[in-house]
Amino acid sequence: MNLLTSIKKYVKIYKHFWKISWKYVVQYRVDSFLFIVALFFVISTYVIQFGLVFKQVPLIEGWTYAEVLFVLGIYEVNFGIFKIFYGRTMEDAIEKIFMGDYDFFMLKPIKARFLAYFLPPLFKAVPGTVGGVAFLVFTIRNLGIPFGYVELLLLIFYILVSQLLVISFFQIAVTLAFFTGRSDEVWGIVENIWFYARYPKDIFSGKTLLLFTFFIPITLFASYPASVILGKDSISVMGVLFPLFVATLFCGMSNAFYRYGVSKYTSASS
Amino acid sequence: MLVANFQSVFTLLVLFFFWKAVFAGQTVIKGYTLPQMVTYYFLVRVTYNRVSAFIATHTARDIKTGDIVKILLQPVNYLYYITTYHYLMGFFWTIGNLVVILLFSPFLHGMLILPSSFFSALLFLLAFCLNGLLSSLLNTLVGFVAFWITEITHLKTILTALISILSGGLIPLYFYPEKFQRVLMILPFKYLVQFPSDIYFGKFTFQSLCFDFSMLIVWVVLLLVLCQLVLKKGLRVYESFN
Repeated sequence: MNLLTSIKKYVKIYKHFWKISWKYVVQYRVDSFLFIVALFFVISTYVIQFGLVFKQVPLIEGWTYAEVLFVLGIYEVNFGIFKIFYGRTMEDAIEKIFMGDYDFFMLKPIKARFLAYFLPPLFKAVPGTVGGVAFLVFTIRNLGIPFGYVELLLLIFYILVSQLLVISFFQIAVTLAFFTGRSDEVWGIVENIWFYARYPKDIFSGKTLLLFTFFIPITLFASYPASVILGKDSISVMGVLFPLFVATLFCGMSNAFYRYGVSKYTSASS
Repeated sequence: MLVANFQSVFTLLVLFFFWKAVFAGQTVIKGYTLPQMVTYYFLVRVTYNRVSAFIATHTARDIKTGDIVKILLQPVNYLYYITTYHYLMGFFWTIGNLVVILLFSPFLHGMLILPSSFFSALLFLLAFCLNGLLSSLLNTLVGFVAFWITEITHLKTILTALISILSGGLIPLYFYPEKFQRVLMILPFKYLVQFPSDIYFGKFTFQSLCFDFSMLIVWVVLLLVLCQLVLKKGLRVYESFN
């Protein structure tokens, strides 16, 4: 009963967040429109870059242009969801820690991280996710790959795993603010690093592949799921679940680091 | 700033692996070898990226917060102030970038190559100094849009992406279809990345060099005049907060 009441409370608060966010979109229409156009341009740069490269070579480590676009599609869906629901607000949390506003969150009768990460969702980022879905549909049709319920379930599973992975990884950048005051630059670096999750995983090998799988797990964000869904590698059940293990591990480490960070937080107003 | 330069190393590392995979079985693609391609992206980092990231944001912030008034009250021209400031800051950015990249260069498996000749190196430095001016002016122009629309963050993203496509920041311009290349060669954007890198690799003739340097100077002067005009017009419609 307590859990149900608690969930109801969180849902009620979250509904308010959505309302606030929608009002922002309506209030700053030009800004919202430009954001959508900007998203389109950013995605276009990758489509152009890959397109021009694939004019010179038919395959890159066994990946065709359409398959790479499929990776891009998964990336845009995953990163779009991240941006919509908590990406922007997590970034804002850094400023809140620096300014001492994070204290107010900690004093509220709900989890501070819920308030800090899930503040008004970014409606403007929705077209990025829609664009990602469009890419996926386009590539599925273009590739002629069988995409049934199993693939759809796999895709949903990987989207959820990717969210766990990305939130855990970016939380490290947020937590650093407890020690350094500001970690905007680190956030920028982490975001920049994450952009390269659009590249097919097979371009890496040996130690680099290990680095980008276990330490900076960008290959698990879009490329690995695409590889499994496209049936590029014959993977066992353990192989399919592998990103979940890594994401859970990262989540545990990231949460422990966050708790340690909070324990060391002296606040800006004390 | 030094922390942010780490991005350059990461970018180069990923692009090295990407292009290594692209070059598998081929030694030359569109006139570039693999080391030349990696060095090309190194040059993108040290030439174009040195000013673009900050100047438009700084200008827009000055306009938005009203800080521009403080400078306008001084006996200095705002355009010269902001471009000079970021132009010089860009040099520090480049030095930081160079230090970090060179520190991590062993991870790039000796892929960074030196200029084709001493003469190329000298010409590259000249092009580097001039294209910094072009880049500063282009980005200041973007920042001046804040006179009319207060928030330019997304507009800046759009223009950055566009300039990245048109300048060769994304991929060398020789990879584009020929018709498109002809158009791109007329525009000023190629002087931001493609032109300095061509000099670095010794891909020039005496005639092309004279023509391109002249055009670069013409574009700098044109943009300078345009920026002055836009600043003048912008200040007419500007209402400061303080």
